[in-house]
Amino acid sequence: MITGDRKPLEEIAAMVEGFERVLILGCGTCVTVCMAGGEREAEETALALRLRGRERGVSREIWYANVERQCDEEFLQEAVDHVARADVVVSLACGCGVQHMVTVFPDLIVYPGLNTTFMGVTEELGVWAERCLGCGDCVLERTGGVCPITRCSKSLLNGPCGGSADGACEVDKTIPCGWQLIIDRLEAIGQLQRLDEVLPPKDWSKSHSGGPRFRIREDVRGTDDVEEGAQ
Amino acid sequence: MHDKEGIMIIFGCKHTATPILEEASGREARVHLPDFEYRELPCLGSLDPLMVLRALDEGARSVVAVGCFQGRCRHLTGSQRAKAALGHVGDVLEEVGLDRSMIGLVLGSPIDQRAMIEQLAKFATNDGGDVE
Ligand code: SF4
Ligand code: SF4
Repeated sequence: MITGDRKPLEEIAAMVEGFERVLILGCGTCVTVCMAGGEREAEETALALRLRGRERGVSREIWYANVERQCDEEFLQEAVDHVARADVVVSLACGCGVQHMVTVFPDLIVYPGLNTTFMGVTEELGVWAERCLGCGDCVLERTGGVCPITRCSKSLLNGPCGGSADGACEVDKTIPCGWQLIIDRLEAIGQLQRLDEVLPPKDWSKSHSGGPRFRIREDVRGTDDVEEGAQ
Repeated sequence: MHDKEGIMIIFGCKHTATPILEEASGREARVHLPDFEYRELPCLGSLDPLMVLRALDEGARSVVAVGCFQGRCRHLTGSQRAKAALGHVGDVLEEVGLDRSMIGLVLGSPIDQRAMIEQLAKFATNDGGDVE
């Protein structure tokens, strides 16, 4: 899932200053799971901004709605009535959702209510942790299913740096050394010999460093004209 | 919608708060407390931060949760959960420049009704609770 942190309410309040009708739009998928931008958080944000406005004697309409996924147009269309009423939308989706909103509704002013942070997992109730940087060339089969790019603070590919101590990372002693995790895991599954394989320098052009990426399935994308007869 | 303007909204556990605030002795509570509306919960553990924010949005001047003290909760962790929920609401209120003393938590035992009402009256007059 993609995770994020709701922006400070004062920052959101400053963004929507001067607008009369403010819609807070939640996203029902990733950011619902990490409890940052789902329906509940959208309602909480709307309530908090209304209370703030009342305290300051500012009267404006602030309400909330939610769609299943802001990164899909078919779901965004469900919000069309809300969007039509709004002078501004604060999207609590990740940055993908915000950008898709402005593509689908080109005349609409949409501001981000979240700081999008990482792709990760639910580690325990109330704790989410980063797991993948979307490097475009996954090596998890070589590293026991533990990502060296994400779990190692320095994204080292062939073993720990000299600062790894007692299983902790030198960048922050409260986080485990990613390479210690890899070694422990390889040992547990009887694949320690994989450490003898040298991972070559990574081709970062497959990552975002090569520019914005696309995924295209031509068979799904559209249909070619089909002539009569054997093809 | 501000139809609860100026009143205190009390969310209470049905085991501890309802006997004091709603049943026969509720009349006595009304003598000692300012105008309040009572909303029963099966356990304080079901207090949702959104319930508290919605109550404030309805115009309540303060919101207080009343339940069993820790160790006496029939569902074991109700009062701790309520404290966490109110703590979250307090953080949200502070973020928008409001005073977290608008919300409070009163824990006690139904066999000491007087003490509970006294604590509630204290909260009502100070407009402040003990939520960290
Ligand atoms: S908009 Fe972002 S948060 Fe919402 S479903 Fe799509 S990827 Fe997940
Ligand atoms: S190796 Fe790349 S794709 Fe695989 S988990 Fe790590 S960052 Fe993600």
